[in-house]
Amino acid sequence: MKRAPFSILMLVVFLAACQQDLIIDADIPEPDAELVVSGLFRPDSLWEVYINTTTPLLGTTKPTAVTDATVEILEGDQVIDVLPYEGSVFSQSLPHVFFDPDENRASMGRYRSRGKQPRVGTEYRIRVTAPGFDAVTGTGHIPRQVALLEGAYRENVAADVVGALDEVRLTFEDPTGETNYYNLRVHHQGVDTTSGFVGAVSYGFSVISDLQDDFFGANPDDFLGDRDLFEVKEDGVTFNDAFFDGQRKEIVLQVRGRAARGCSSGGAFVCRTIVELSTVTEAFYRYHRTLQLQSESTENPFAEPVSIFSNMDNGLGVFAGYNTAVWIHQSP
Amino acid sequence: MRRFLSLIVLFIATTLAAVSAAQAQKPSENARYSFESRGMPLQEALEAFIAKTRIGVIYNSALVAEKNTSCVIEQAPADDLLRCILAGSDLSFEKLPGGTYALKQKEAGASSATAPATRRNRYTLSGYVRDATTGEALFNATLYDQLRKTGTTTNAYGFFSLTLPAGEINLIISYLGYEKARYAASLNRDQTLHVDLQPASIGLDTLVVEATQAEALERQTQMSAITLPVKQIQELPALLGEPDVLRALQLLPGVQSGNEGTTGLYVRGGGVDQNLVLLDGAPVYNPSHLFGFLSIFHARILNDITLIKGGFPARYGGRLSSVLDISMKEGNIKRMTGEASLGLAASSLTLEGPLRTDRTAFILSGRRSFIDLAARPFTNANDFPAYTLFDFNAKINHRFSDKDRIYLSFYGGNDSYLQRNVVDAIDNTGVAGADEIRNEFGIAWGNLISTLRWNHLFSDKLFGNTLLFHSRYRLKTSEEDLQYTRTEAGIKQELYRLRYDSGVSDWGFKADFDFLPTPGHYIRFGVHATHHTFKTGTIQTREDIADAPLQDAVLAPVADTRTREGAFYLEDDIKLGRRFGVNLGVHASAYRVEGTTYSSVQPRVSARYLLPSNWAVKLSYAQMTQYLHLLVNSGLGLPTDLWLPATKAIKPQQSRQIAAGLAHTFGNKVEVSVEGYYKTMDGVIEYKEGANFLDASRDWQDNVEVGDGESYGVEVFVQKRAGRTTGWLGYTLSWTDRQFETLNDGESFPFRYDRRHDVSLNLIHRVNDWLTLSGSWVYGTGNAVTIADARFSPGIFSDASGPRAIYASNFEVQRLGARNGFRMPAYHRLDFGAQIEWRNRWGTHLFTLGTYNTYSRKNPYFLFAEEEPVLEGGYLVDKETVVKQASLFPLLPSFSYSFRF
Repeated sequence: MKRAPFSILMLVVFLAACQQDLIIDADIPEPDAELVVSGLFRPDSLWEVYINTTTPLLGTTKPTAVTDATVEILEGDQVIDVLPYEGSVFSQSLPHVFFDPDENRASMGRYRSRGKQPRVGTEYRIRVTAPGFDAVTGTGHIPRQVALLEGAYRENVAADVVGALDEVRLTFEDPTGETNYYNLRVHHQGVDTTSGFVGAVSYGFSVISDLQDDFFGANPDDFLGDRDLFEVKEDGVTFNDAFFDGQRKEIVLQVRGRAARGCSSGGAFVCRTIVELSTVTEAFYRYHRTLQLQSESTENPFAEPVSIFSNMDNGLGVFAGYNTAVWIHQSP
Repeated sequence: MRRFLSLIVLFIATTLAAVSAAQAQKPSENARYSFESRGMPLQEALEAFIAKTRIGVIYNSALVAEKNTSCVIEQAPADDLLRCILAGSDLSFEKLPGGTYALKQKEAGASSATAPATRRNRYTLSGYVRDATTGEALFNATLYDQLRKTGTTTNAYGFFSLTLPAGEINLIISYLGYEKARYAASLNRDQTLHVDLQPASIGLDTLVVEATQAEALERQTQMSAITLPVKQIQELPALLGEPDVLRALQLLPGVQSGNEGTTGLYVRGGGVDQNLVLLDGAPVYNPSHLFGFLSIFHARILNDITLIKGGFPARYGGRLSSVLDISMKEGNIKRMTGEASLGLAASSLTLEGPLRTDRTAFILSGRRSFIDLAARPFTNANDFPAYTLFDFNAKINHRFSDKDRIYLSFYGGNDSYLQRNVVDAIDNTGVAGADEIRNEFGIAWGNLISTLRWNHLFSDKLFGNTLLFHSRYRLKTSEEDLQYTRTEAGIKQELYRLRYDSGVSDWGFKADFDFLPTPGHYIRFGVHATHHTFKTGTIQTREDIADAPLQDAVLAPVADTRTREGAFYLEDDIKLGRRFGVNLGVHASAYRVEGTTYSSVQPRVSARYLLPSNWAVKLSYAQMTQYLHLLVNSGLGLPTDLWLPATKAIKPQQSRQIAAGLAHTFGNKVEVSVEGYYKTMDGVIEYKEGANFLDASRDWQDNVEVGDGESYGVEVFVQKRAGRTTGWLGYTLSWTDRQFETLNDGESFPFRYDRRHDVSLNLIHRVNDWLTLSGSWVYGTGNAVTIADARFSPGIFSDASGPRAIYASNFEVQRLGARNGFRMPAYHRLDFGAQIEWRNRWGTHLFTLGTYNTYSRKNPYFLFAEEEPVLEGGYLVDKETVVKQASLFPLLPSFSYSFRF
């Protein structure tokens, strides 16, 4: 169904005997570069923040790692940690690029704590300073975890044109009287039980057609609709509890089957399915959501483009916590 | 292809067959007529005379009532024939300059049958003005008493009423493109007068000399209104050779065209939903065919078109920005005629004629595109896109008497697009077990409009018009995946289907009254009631999979929303002396939805004052309320735009507009008007960022933002309406903004179609009797769009190296600049057209040639950022981000052929 607007547009273009696209000398203003801070944190990991800068839209320059920033984590006005620079991570090489040195690739500076972890419920502040930029600040916290109460897995409950579908049932209890945001991911892993080797990750989201109607109705996001969308949705889906606040909630969903993903048990190998239900903050949710929306809106040149959410002052990016409950089902 | 050719042959054969049934005659000085009537009512004989000679006769029906005539004459000129018919009566005739006859009494005051019982000071002259050749009512024809320097105009049904002091009158009856008529008589009783005006297209010289403006622009109280004759629209250059009403209106000042090629109208900063488009009084929700490139209005069967941009009279309501009042022709009540046309975009066949001469007439018209048939040789059954459009118009009217007439009209149209893709090998699909996969995507939309109208003359001063209507717009899209697998048990079929359905349906009633107590007052009042049913979008799925139960589901079922809307209005068009006129009115409306009632009292005022130099100063104020919203998905006017009601949460839209201007007519030929306006709009809606019409899983009200709009500007309009060369120059200087609390950080931003400068020059030159040339040049400031000014890496989530780790990828996102803060390059285009017309004994042939975008300007359709490869020594070493402009139409030649009989 997601093809509908795209198909219409293509037809319009077809009917209109579209001319060739023309590169124009667009006089786009080049505003000052800004710091971009990606700081997502959870209770079972060290503080970790990635920093790069914006680069002008036009040209070949890439977003560049910031290596000389001072990254401070504060609790109230108290600096509780200063994250040292640990090196840069570079984007993957462009396919078929003959010569692709690091300077041709986007990069982010990685800053990581030596040993401190965030706590659930505490309000933290991040302050990033770097030469040539104003100080960038933001606040965030880790929400309480919502435990998975029950889980069930059934293989080959249905099939579509791509292949077999498995069913996952999850039950959790949504906290009462507050707006909760969730992120849900499902993926399969093949594991060698003798060596502990973990095979390639295969993401399971596919058809979500069997979710209860009221859950669909509640879903402000993207459960509904395009199967293709979920095929590539490595980040899972985000939703809120507007329509089941405070309820014990069972989610029934169909996912791309293990068999279709080539994940099977036999010998030393077992196939396991990992379901992660994360409670996330509103900032996490909006950042995640707008990343998806901007990507999707590029299919429609007439739609208003989407701004990426930011909760950073004087810069871009997000500083937000999340708390993940994991349920694992291993095939016999 | 063979089928296509057969259809064309059939089409032409049908046309020629119809021709043989028609009798095309033109009045001629040398024409001879035979006639026989024995004891026939005189009025019937006169109507037969008009039908036979196609020469108009003006007469007072009271003078001919209850009189009979006997006349037998062969091969006589028209004068002798009329003399024969009138022989034995107390009537004689006068031949007017245009050829029309006017009947008068031989002795003044001889008719005692209609003489008043008591003498009065004032008497009323009322009746209808019609086309002498077709019987069509002429709207806005002027009747002007030269002795008293006063007059009136006809309403949409050709009715007029003029109450004057007793005494001699010398009435000039005129209408654009028609011969003037004169009626001189002694007004000593209430009289009925039917005027049949002769079209002025008999000869070029006649046209040049006689065609006049019905009522001088500076004498009209109404401002911000433009009437376009359909003939002029047909003579303008047209995209793909198909004359289009809405595209012609886009050439007027104050009307922006939106994206190239589409028929959407953006009037004085308003959206496409803010236009009240009426077809025979019924609202039209999506007047587009062919994804917006063509409107549903078939120009060949329409009467003149009026667009009002401001100073709205109280009789109109329900939309903020414009009123587009379109009526279908009534049908030729004199004789059978028809027209067939062949064009690139569509072909059509129209038939009209009397079912009973001077009593009952009909008009039928069908139009269809042949894009699907033309494309068939290039497609196959397994992999094709197919598109068709058709529409059908029908109207029948019956005159019971001079006081009662009914009209029944119907429009039905549909567009459908189907795209099928079939893959029949496992190797191609990579789908285990499948022998064939078939994917179909379809979209269909259309309008269905029906009206039943009753005109009744309550008295010679009170005209009533009652209307029942139904208007329905429906959009359906579907996507279907079918998988066939060959098994030992046979072919196994598995289906997944998804359907989306939305639309709006109206049932309505209108009672409108025109009351003309004196020439100084034209009072209108009426009531309107409409019941709306909105289908705001439901998605249905079906899964039919082997070894599993059939699953049908309606996802996020949304119940139809039913609303009721009612309105009452009262307006008086007052003339105080020669110089001052004012139209005062009020439109009061109420609306009920979900247990909530909204109401609105909307004052309307228009005034004009005629300066000594015959320049008129005009002022107007109008307040409008709109209980509907349109969620625009793409900005293209695509059928996926969703009509929605105002609800408890999403309030109605409101606007206030004030306008001031100057108007003058130079030499009775060239009209000039300059108008400035300022308009505010409250309650306009837009999709939230990233939301679209497929988000049916949530309430649409959660998908939208509510905000305000503002528009102001100056419009200059210079129009030459008569002569060999006609046309207009329009220029608009305007500013239009929108403001939403949650968009653009709450700051106001330019409307997408905010256009600082908009110019349109349109000329039509009649070279001689058989050749007409036309040209249009348009220029517009580029549309306002949002584009990015920078890129960055957001950091994405991945499971590659453990739960929730972040790593850098090629994934870059864009930082947007200010909303609609960037201007696309300017738009300009030159179109040419040539019409060659010739006649033979079969009828009139019209061959139209045209070019669209003659100098093939690459106009911007949309902009997008894209990565281009950077090569060194033939090797890809990097990628560079550039901004590209997509353009639609290069030079497009067109032709069409039509044949009138």
